[in-house]
Amino acid sequence: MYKYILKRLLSMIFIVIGVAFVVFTIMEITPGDPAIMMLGDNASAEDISAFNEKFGLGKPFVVRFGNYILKLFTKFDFGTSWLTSRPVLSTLLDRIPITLNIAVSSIAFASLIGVSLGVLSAVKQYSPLDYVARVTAMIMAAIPVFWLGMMLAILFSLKLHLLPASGIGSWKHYILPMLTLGIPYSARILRSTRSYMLEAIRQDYIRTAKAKGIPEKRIIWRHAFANACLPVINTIGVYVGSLLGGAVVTETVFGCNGLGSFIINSVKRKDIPAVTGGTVFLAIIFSLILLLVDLLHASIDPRIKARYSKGGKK
Amino acid sequence: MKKKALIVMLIAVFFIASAFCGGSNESSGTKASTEKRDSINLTLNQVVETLNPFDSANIVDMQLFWQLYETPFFLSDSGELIPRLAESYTVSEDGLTYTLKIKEGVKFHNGATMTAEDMAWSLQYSLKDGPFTKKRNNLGDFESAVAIDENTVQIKSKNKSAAFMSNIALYGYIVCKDEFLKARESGKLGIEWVPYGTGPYMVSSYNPDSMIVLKAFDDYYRGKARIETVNYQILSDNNTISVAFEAGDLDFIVVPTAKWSSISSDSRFNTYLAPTQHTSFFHVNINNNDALSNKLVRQAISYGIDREAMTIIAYDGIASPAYCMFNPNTVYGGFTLEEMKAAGITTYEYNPEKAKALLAEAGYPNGVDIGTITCINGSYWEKMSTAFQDNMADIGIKVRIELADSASCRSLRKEHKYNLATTGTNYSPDASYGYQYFRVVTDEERANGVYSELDLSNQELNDLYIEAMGETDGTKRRSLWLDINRIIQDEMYSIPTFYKAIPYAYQKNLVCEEINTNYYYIYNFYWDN
Repeated sequence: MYKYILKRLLSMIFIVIGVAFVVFTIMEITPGDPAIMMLGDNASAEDISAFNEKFGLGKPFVVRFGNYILKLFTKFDFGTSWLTSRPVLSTLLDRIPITLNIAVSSIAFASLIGVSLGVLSAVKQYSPLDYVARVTAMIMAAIPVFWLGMMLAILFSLKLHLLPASGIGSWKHYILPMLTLGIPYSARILRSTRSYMLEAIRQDYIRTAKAKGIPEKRIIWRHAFANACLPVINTIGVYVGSLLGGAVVTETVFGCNGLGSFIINSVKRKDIPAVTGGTVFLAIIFSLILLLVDLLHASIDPRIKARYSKGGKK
Repeated sequence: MKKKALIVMLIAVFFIASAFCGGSNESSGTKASTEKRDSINLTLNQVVETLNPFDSANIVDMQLFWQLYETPFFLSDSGELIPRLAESYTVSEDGLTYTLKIKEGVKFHNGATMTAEDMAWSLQYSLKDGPFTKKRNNLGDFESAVAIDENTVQIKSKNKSAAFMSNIALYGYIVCKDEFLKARESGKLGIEWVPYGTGPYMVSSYNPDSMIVLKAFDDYYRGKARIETVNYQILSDNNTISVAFEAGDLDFIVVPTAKWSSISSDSRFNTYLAPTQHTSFFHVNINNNDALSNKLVRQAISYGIDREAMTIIAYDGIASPAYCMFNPNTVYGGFTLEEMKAAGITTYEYNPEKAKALLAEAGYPNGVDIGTITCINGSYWEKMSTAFQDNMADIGIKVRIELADSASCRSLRKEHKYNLATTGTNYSPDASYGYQYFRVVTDEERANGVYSELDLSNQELNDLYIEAMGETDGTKRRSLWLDINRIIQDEMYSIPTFYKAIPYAYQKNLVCEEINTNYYYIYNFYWDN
């Protein structure tokens, strides 16, 4: 098991290098002179040259990329933002709690609703509850996030005065972003859970369990759900990853500036260290989350655990 | 079971519909009115880049700087220089030396008293010696600043310039030299709050990504501000800003243009349309397109633009059509339609028939393809380009829209790789700011990195501009601006479309004594409790 974890951690090195390379290359080939973006249109040739010298922009692409990777791995240095002169890592560390709070609370909410309704929907297939749940899920999954966010803000802030419309402060500020992201994801999780549960319910071992007279609740939760939850966990893990960098719209709508909006703003201003640093940071967190998901998977499924444990076949 | 589900759904629909369709709630937005307030909630629509006033010309940073730092004079909307950190100034006979008498007893946020040395050093370092480039274009004539005694600063200009002191008033921030140098040494400069300013507010907590809190400076020389605490929230989404304002979470906002009609007609709020010195326009590259190099085609384009309709399509009507490059109501150097007509200057009011006739005269009776408009995506310029494209189709001109991010657009404009480009400028403090576009760049200047987006070779226009910028006699200067406008209007190197206004809204019991063109000062605000 430890070997597996070590292997996965080592593979992250290549992921980081790969991500950094792709971002570096894209930023390199897109038009727009970083020096002009930072110094202004009327910067003199002397100032531009000093800027390029200071940040090593005159050096070939390979040298700059190599230096970046070297600093990243030896000093955990994600670079310094050209725009704000702040170390990228310090900005990322300021923003990651916001993003994590939103992502984790949204996915927890989505999982709670999605999994429970998904199981119920599968168990009560073709019942009114199943129809209502499926139609609602379809509608919720189709609603654009920015629209849902605005509607929730209008309802809970403007009309009912229950929650703040924007900003970050108390726990109340996180409720609307959580609902905005959580509702569409709960719909997706509901649909996945329902389909995996239906697949599990139709298996021979369920029929056998029923024939043995095991109570239905026990069959559903101990036998069907235990098997159906494995792909659901995988799905949820991927959703958490995509929420980290992909919650830009929600962050913008509710004025909670997390990682996503940081990267988008940096792209707009061609702040290459910020874009690269932010993306690499996200890649690391995403890889760690996927590793955690795999470990959770192994802890639930004894077959997987056996494959990685001592003496087990890989 | 089916009935139960139906009832549940009906209740849910009723609840949502009643919440969304209910009449406006009078208590929202007036949340503040019942309490005694000494704080104000505002928003900045972008992350603040720096707290160093020397190092940014970004409009969002400037909004913050206006509350924290000050310059020797305040430039009023009428162009008057009102004393702030300097009490008065005199100009030498040759117009190149300015002698400023500093205001005594001004305290910096760290408690130190401002000296002439602080003022001289700040100007010299920010405009000449230091590594700051973003504001220097506006003060290219600045030569030096020295303290000649304890209370006097002498500033030298390279050229005679009528707008020199106005530019100092806009961009010449004064800081406490020792505190600033200390911050530079410790690496805090711009990143952390350092008490080197003199403004009515100082930073109480600084998180440039989400919230900036200011508190009133007790020892402010004009008297402590009436609003004690200022909370700046960073919000970039227009809908979020208007919802937060209507819910009472924000007290003063720049209204998203699409929301102006509903907010301005809501009795719970005060509103104000502030005029600006901004002009939106299309730059024309006359050097890489046969059709566009023809003056008659450019004039036809200008006649073919329905500017009245464009202001509605592109800016929700919160703008006025621009028939002169400089807004005559706010920019010294701008002229009204009537003034231009009286002087025999072409004004290009919408006339598609005349546009077609000019095209035919130019040798394009069946229309012409003028290439692409380079335009920043997602901006009001995108809508402006679409309206333009439609107008041009009506007169037989084909044009495509090329959308790109702002970095790419700037780069394309700077490298002259465009046919038409959407852009806009604040002509502040006056029309001389337009020199950067209409000037002739010599080979030597070009080698030193000087450039002009239009890349013109009109020496007459260049010379007139230099003369107007140096002329201090009001009547002569006005006459020179008229001559400049005559050439600009005739050549149509750059085609003006409209002048934006800034739509402000604020809670009913907030009093804003003065909102100036382009900016506001919280020092002038108070709650009428």
